This record gives sequence, C-alpha cells and structure tokens, in this order.
Amino acid sequence: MAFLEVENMSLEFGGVKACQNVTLKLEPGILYGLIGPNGAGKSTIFNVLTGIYPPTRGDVKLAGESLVGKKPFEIAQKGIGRTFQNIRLFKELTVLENVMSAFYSSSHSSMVDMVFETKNFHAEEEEVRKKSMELLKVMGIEDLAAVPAGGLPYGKQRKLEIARALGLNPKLLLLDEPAAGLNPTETRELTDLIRKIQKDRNITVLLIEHDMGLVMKICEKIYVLVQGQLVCEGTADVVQNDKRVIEAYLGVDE
Amino acid sequence: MNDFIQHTINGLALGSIYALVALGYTMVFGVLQLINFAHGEIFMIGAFTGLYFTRYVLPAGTEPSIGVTLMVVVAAMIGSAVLGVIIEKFAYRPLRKAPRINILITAIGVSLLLQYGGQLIFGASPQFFPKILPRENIDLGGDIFLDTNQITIFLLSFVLMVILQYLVFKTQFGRSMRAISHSLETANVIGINVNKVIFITFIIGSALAGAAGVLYGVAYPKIDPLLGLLPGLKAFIAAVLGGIGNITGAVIGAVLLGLSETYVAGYISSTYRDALAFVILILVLLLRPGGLLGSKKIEKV
Amino acid sequence: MKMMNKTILIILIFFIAALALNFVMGGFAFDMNLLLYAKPTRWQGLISPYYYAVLVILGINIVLSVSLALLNGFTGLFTMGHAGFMAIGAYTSASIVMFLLPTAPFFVQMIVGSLCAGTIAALIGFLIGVSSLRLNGDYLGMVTLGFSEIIRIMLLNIDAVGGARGMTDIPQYSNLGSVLLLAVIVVLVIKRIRDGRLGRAMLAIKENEMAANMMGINPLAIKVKAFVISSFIAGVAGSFFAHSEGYLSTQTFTFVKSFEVIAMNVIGGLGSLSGAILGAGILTVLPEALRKVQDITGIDLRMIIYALTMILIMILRPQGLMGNREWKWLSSK
Repeated sequence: MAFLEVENMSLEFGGVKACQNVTLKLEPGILYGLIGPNGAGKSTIFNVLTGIYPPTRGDVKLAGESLVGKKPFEIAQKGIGRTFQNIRLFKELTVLENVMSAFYSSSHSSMVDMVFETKNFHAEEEEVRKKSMELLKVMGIEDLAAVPAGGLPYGKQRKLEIARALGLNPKLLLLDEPAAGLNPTETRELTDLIRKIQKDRNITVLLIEHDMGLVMKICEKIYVLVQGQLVCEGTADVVQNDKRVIEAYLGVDE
Repeated sequence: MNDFIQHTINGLALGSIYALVALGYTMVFGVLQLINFAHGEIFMIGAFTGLYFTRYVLPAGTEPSIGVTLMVVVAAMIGSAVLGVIIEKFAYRPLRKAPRINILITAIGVSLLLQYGGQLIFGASPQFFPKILPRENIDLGGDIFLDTNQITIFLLSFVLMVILQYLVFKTQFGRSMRAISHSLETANVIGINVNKVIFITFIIGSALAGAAGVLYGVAYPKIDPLLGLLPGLKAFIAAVLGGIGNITGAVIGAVLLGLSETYVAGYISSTYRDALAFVILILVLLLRPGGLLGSKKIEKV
Repeated sequence: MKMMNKTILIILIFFIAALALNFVMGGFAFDMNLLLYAKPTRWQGLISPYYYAVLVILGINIVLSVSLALLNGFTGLFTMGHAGFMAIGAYTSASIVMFLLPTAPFFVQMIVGSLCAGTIAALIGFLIGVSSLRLNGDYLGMVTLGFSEIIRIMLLNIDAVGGARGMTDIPQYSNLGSVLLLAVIVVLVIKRIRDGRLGRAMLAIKENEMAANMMGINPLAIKVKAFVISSFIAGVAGSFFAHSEGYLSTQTFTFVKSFEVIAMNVIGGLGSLSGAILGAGILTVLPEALRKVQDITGIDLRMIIYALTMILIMILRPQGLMGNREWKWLSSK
C-alpha cells in the first residue's frame, strides 16, 4: 500500500473536465515531480489533495485512510503541508509569526494559560518559537524573523512559504511551483535546499514545476499531466524520451 | 375572505412602494457591489422635496389633482436624483478601489449624516405632507375599499417599472449596466464608460426612490427626517429576498415583503410587524443567500 | 517564596489603584460603600459629577471598543450587531439583580450580575455565530444587524423588563473604580489573547483564510471562538452600563449604537488595540466637548460631526489614526 494513493480521480465542474482518471501512487520518502503544460490541471490536483475541492469520482487515500470529504484544515493536521503558486503569506504577520501559525493545531495551551501567561503558556510559546526559528534557519532566512512577511523580496517569500508548510511537520509536502519567478542562482539554491530537506526529514515531496532543469535533477519519479490526464510516469530518462510528453511540450517551456 | 382581499390590496400598495426603493438598492449593488445604506435617506429626501415643493413652489390654494401629484413626483425625483449623484461623486467614487469595509462604513456615515442633517434642516418634529391628491374611497363591495392613494401607487409604480424594464433590457445603457455588474474590469476593458454608467444608475435608482418618497408621503402623511430608516432597511431586505443585484427579484421580494407584513399585522399582531422583516433577512441569508432568484453566486467560506 | 503570577500582580495593583481613584475622585471620607462597587454619594472629590460620569462612560466605551476590535480588527469579521449583545448583558444583569438578588450586598450583585450577563450574551453569541459565521463580508454584517434588531424588538416586547417605558431603578453600583478596573482587565485579556496562538490564528484568518485553513487552522472554530469572547465582553459591558445609568431603554441599543462602536474602531485604526482605545477616547470626549457648542447654539451637532468624521476618515485616512501600530505597552514584541 503506497503512502499516498490517488485512485482514478476525476474532477468536473459544470462540463469542464479538470482531471480525468488520475492515478498516483506515492511511496514514502521519495521526491516526486508533477509536470505538464500550463492549464493541465496540476494545481487542481493539489487542491483536491488538500481538500479544497472534493473529487467528482475516485478516491484519495493517505496511509490507507480516505481524505475525500475532509476539510482542508483536517487534512493539514493529518500531515500534508502545501505551498501556493501565487504566494499566500500572512503579510501583516512577521516572518517568524507566519511559521509559528502552522504550529497552532499541534499546540495545547488553553485560554486560561494564554490569559494568565502561565508557565505552561511560556514554555509552549518558547518551544514553538524555537522550532520556528530552526525552520527559518533551514531555509536561510532567520535574519528576517521580525520583518513583516509582506516586506520580503520575492525569492525569500517563496522560502518562507516552504518554512511555514514545514511547521506542520508534514509527512507529505506539496510544493506548487516553488521556483516560479526565481533567477537561475536562486533556483539552483532552492533545488539543493528542497532535496536536502526531503532527505533530512525523510518526507515525501510532490513538486509541481515548469523549470525542467530542477525537475529532472532532483525528482526520483515524475508524473506528466496533459489536459487533466496522466500521459506518462517514470524516471527522468523515461519521461524525457516519451513521445507523448515531447509532443505535449513542443514549443512550450525552456 | 373580504379581509384577506383588503389586506392583499394594502399589502400590494405597500409592496409597490418598497419595490421602487428596492430597485435602487439592487441596481447600485449590481454595479458597485455596495449596499448603499444612504438609499433610505434618498427616499426620505424625496418625501421632503415633495413637501417643500408643494409648500413653496406651487401657488397657494392649488387644488389637489392628479396633475399636481405628478408634478410633485417629478420634482421629488429630480431632488432625489441630484442627491444621489452628489453622494456617488463625493463619497463613493473616491473609494472605488478601497476595501469593501471602507465604502460600507462611508455609506453608513452618509446615511447618518443625512438623517441628523435632515433633523437639523427640516426640524426633528414630524410635518404633515400636504394633500396633493384628491382622496376618495372606492367601495368594491363587501367592505373592500380601494382608495385613490393606492390607485396612484399602483399606476405610477407600474409605469415607472415598465420604463425601467425597457431601459435595462432594451437599451445600450442597460446592456452596459448589466455588463458592469458581471465584471467591472472587463467592462472597462471593452470600452464602457464605467463612470458614466454608474452615474446614470444612481440617477435612476435615486429618482425611483424619490417617487416612492412622495407616494409614501401621500399614503402616510406624517413625515420626519428619520422616516427613511425603517422602510429603507425593509426595502433592502426585500431586495435581498429577491436576490440582491437582480432587478426582477427586487420587485418580487418587495411585493412579498409588503404582503407578508400586512398579513402579519392584520392577522397576528402589529408589534411583531417590524421583526418580520429581520426574520426574513436572517432566514434568507442563512438558508439561501442568493435570494429567490439567486443571481450572484455567494462564495461559501 | 514563589513569585506570584505576574497577571495577578498587575490586577492587584490596578485594584488598589481603582480603590484609591474612587476614594479620591468621589470623596475623601472613607465609606464602605465608596469602595469598588458603589457610586460616591457625597461629592467631595477632585472632579465634578459631570466629569465623573464621562469617565465612567469612557471606561465602558473602551471595553466595547476593544471587544469589537477582537472580532473586527483581529479576525477580520465585519459585524453590526454589537449593540445586541450589550443589550442582552444589560437587561440580564438588571433583571437578575433586581428580581433575584435585590437584597444581596453590592459586591455579590456586581459579580453575579456581570458574569450572568456575559454568559448569556456569550451563549446567544455562540448560537448566532455557529449559524452565521459561514457568511462573509457584507452578508455577515447584515445578518448580525438583523439579529441585533430582533433582540432589541423582543426586549421591547417583554413587559417584565419595562417594555417601551424602559427599566428603571436599577441599583447603581458601577462606579469609576470598578469600570476602570474592568477596562484594564479586558484590555489585558485581549492583549494576551492576541499575543498567543489564538491571536495568531485569528490574524492568519483575517489575512488569508484559505492559507490558514491549509496550515491546520479551523476557520469556523476560530471565528466562533472570537465571536463568543467578543459577545461575552460586550455583555459584561452592558451590565456595567445598566448599573451605572440606573435606567435602561431599548432605544439605546439600536443599530446606531453598534455603529458608534464600529466608528471607534475605525477612527482609531482597525487592526490596532491601542487604536480601539484611542477611538473610544475620542468618540467619548468629542460629543461631550461638543455639548458646549450645543449649549450655545441649541443645535445638536454631535451625530452630524460623528458621521462627518467617519466619512472623512474613510476617504482621507482609511487606516485610522493608529493604522496597525500599537503603543509601547500594548505592543506584542
């Protein structure tokens, strides 16, 4: 039984078939890539996985348990973390607070603790703060901890998104175009960082990307989605030489 | 049964007045996604314009007649339209790109400003709306009466609504207005003069409310500057009931509200009459926020 | 010796300060009744009864304003029903004190009255919240307005609490000391909430609800929590209001009252606790200052100036006076 299973999932909105019979099997501890031309439905799959849309047909199972019908926050609490294609940071909160917010569901201090600032409260706040700072260090942005997130340069915002998602201590990390808009140096740096995080924490990562260099370099297995359907899956070599993939990408992308 | 018919007539008359006001709410919401809180006061100013027009412009001793009534209605429509346009230009237009809550609060502020400003200018005590319509009761038999007020209300609102219907569905302006209510940005991009269309929308909506103000004054002659508050709120609720942003919905909602209010007051008790409108508001918003004709898709959180 | 919890220490300090304040403001004679929970009956204090009353109103307005800020500024929920909860609290407390505890000592009346007021308000807040908080934006505002008006109309029709005539002869034990102590406690509580994880969750929801959802935060649960806390505090404010005026009329609790509190938040700055306090201060003092003008000209310009100020601020300085910032002692950093 794979760690995350998407079984014959289809999603239709009023006549538009966003996804058709998509089947994914993600094994634990592997870095996967999800590629495809624009509009193929990649982010949509993420949205189904995280509970924003229920699939019209099919199932999504995490460690054997069906996620269909669960609300996004429940799915997040089960250990699926996600970043967004168009950055969705809490702009007015500081960088540190953004990451700390992900610890909400795993914290236990009660109202009484908060209001009276008991030892319990202080202890937990300290721990959350410490863990959050560690995540910022991993992403290399710990010096910006007190800066409001909205004031960060683009590249660092992308890193913050990842740090925040890691705050959930996820077993599955979904990264939606983490390198979009980054220059080649930043992209290289991020590529290594993602691989390092994945190996260090031994988590499963599913990565949507348009930057083929990044994908081919670090993804151990790649799924290719075209117009809502999976047309190929396999290692980088397999995918690069697949006829249908080449057809779909002719003229598009780098 | 006769009671029922009488209540129905009364309810339809009340509903027609609500409809004229509700149309303004719904049209402005359609183009600006704004609940124009000040609309109730535009209705009130219509009533007062009618009052002062009759008192100071018409020669003393003018006999009540349909002609006089029409003149007063037109005067009120102009007065309200002018006010509506001033509010749009100075209070709402600067906030076109601001967050929703800012415009909402401004609208509330304008509403209060007009209420208390009205008290300052017109005096807080109620005044009597002059008699401009010859009052006669027509006995339809079986204790059912139809009075000239009600006939005027029915006729006038019918005519105005037909004109509006034509404007909205058969003219270029109407098409532009509907385009804007679908998407302001797209409308801009395809060359619609958005400011002008919004401007005209306010004129029409406010004029209708002004007419309603006079009709209200004729039916309920004791008027004061706070009169726009409750009827305004009810007309808004009627628009929500029908589906805010939907013109046909506004009329249907208003008629339904007018009828149910009259039935409740007639058969149950008049104390809870006002509460009915709020109960309807809550039920609609909680169960079917899009209203009966559900035009705008309400995004569930 | 173990160090006392810092919070209890702060409250103790203010408690003593409140006693002293009341003592000094209301009369230099030491009278059991002059302690925290009764209005001074002999005016030998530093300020006149008029200013005393204004300060009491200020205290209550601060409590109302910061409790709305929790909902509006911190969680991003635009509601227009705050007056309704204030009304529930006021009438509940007055009823309980007058009908159930008429002969109990002031101290008991105050504690029981305000706790019941808050609890009932919170309960009703819970019911309303659970049904309405799925809505957002203007719709939430309209629904809360509707509920507030229904509450008011229902109270108007209950003869036992005076109906249209209003409720009179309510024991007036809320004095300056107790009101200011309440204000301090409430501000402290809300600050602590904001600085803790609940506050972070609320702000996250306000900033980007979808993202907060993705980070494991249950938006509806947090919104309901905020709504219940806010209603509880509004109810307590209502209770202190009832026992300071001595007289209640449903006319006080119309939508205009809700709007006044919204105005306090907006003028001060929507995301700011300090702003809520500042706004309460300005909107309490301004009408009183204008009363002088009213005395001279005979015209009540207060509501007009209120409304104009709101409009101008929305157009010219929409972030309010404090914007997002806080005074030093209220800042979380």
